[in-house]
Amino acid sequence: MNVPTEHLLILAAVLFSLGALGFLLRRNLIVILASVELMLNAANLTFLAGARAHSSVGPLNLDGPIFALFVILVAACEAALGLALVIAFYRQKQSVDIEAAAELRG
Amino acid sequence: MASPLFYALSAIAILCALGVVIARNPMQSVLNLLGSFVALAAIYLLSGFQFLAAAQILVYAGAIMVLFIFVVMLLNLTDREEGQPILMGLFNGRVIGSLAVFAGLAVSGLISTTGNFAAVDASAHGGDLDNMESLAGVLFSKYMLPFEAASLLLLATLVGVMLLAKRERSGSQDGGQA
Amino acid sequence: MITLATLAQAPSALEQSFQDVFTGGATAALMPFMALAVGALLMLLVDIIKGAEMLRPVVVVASLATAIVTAWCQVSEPAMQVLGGTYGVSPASAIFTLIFCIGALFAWIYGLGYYEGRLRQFSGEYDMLLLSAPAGMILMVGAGDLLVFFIGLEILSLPLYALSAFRRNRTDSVEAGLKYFLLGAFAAAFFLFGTALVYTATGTLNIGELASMFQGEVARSPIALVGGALLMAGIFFKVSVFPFHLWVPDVYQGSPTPITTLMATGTKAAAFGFLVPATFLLPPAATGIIAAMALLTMAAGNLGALVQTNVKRMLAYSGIAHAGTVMLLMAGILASGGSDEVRSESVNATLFYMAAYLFTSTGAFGLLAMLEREGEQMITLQGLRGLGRRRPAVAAAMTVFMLSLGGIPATGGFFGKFMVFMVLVEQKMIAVAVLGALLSVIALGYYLRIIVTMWMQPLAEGEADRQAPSTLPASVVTGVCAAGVLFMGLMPGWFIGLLG
Repeated sequence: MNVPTEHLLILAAVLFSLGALGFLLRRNLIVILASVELMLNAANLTFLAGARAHSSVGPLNLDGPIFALFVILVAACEAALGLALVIAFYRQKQSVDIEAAAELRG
Repeated sequence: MASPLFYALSAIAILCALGVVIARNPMQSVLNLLGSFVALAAIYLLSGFQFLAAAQILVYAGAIMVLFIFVVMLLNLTDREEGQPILMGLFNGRVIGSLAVFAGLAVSGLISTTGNFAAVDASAHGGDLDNMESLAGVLFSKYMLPFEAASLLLLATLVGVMLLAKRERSGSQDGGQA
Repeated sequence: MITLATLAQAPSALEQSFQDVFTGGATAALMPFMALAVGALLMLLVDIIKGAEMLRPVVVVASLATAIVTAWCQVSEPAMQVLGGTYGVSPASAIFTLIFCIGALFAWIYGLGYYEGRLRQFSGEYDMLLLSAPAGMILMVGAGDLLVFFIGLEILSLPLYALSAFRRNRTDSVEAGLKYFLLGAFAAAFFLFGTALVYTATGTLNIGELASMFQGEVARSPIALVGGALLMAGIFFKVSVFPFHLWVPDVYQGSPTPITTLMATGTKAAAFGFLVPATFLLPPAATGIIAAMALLTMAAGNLGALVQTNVKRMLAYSGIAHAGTVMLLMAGILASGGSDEVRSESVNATLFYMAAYLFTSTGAFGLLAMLEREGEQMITLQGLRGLGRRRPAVAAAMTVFMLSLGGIPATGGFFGKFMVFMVLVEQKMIAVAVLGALLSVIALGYYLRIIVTMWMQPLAEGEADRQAPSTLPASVVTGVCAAGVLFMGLMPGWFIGLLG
């Protein structure tokens, strides 16, 4: 596939911005977590785009794929812990609306 | 030429990402996310990252998605949660702020792509850019520390999740009843 | 035919490269990290064996003590890189390690007897997470590679998300955990995207290689600029820099107070331990922006604190202001054009500031943890009234901490601020230094208000006979913190001598 690196990066930037938009715009905690996953995926795509560009001109550059592998691992950890927090929150508020998190103000 | 395929997959990924952001029902959001993951996995495969594509499908589309869907089902969420349709409240501060951040990120992201990148040679290294043997070679030598530390991370996450989600043993009653 | 026996005999290429990387120094360099990781594992083991509960404190203290001793040995040794350049120890990283481990130990001691009965069944999990968090911090300051740094960041963050929601039957604690998690996940995504862009620009993750590449052509390419900025923004979230500070007071207030002590001191020290040396990722043109952000952070923290009546929340705002002060160092480094001399001077100032802040902030939050056990309302300004008459020792210690937070001479906080402003003055950033000093004076307003409330205002009706459930270990730690603050203020030379 001879798609230039720029196009991969543009795709990643669009996905990242959409993820950030979802994170800030939405109030449903599940959707907010989904948006974070979207942002992490955009980062992964960028790592692979970089690895591809650098491997094309020199020896195999494996730092990018390895980092991407670790990002997948961390994404799984964050999803698990985040959903556990959402469940704990739901037990108290019967809601997954971020606006319900309003105890602490001042 | 695989390029048309790439642009088609990109379009799917972006449309699904948009779906995540605007779907009213959390379940639709999560399913759109799944579509985005799968499209990205296909792009990884096209770009020469077979192992990463497999990991993406197995971990993201498999494990993480199941977790999300499980929680949505468990909590029995519907679209009642959010008060107003998003487009109706377009003029409140939160929406304007979010859109401003979105625009800023998109613009800076696009600016970042104006550099000089070497032309991509699809045949380099036989088109296999994450050869599993080389990957393992780096992972178990240079990146041994993060690899080992990741096990502590997974363990701590496990313990943390248990701590948050486990029901308490109440002192007098039989724990099995809860 | 390949059999298991032949595989075992002939060293494969993989084994060879493993042996190249894993040299003898690696074990010694990683000792503090390994002590905590082993402690965390042992904790889980001890927790499931019936009748072994009394071993839990032994495991916590032993692993933290091992980490402290091994880190102390590293302070006097020369810097070295191990594991193919992915990890390194230096006197600075060893002192940071000491700060984290002592902070964790203090946080653990303040947690003894803090939690109500039903939560005690989770002590094993609690202790395990409390040992993991400093292990992550150690990786962050020792990292020679962005991947190691990121894994360290996550090992620090995920346990703290869970710990801040530890009192899960309380709505404020779960809310704090949730907000901390959302903030941290957003920050991690920024960090990752920035790292990915920097990697695309340079093709390396090694911090040393990045530092030399960013002095040349690479630094001016748009992708490296955007990447460096996003990477830094991700860490700015972690240290509550303006405009990323909004949820931080909520998180600090809602979390269990012993955990707040660790978040306020350890997380901040670990993040600045990376930020200050890694300032090279930002272009020199960003000097003004960074200085403005630092000053706005100080202003947001100090002005926010002025109107608080809950002392825990007030100290959370004060923590934001302190993050702003340390961040001024980054502006100083940028103004110097990234000279090595200014950088090492700034790292020393960060170390001093953070060591003094460790004692001050841990002591102050820890005292609140002790007072909280008399009742929730005791940590409001109203509840502190007449404390000097009721519990003079507690009030005296609190006075020392408040004076140090305010930067009064003869306390550790003074010399920390002094060193920061010295760096700025040397870089001819007089205006920034003056503004920073003025904002610090505003801060005295609320620190003195606490002191006045404690000593000058009469006890509320019926408070005089309130009996304090004081515990010996927490009192000892508070005494040590107060002594540490005064020692660093009266004899700063000893600590500066450590820095070499």
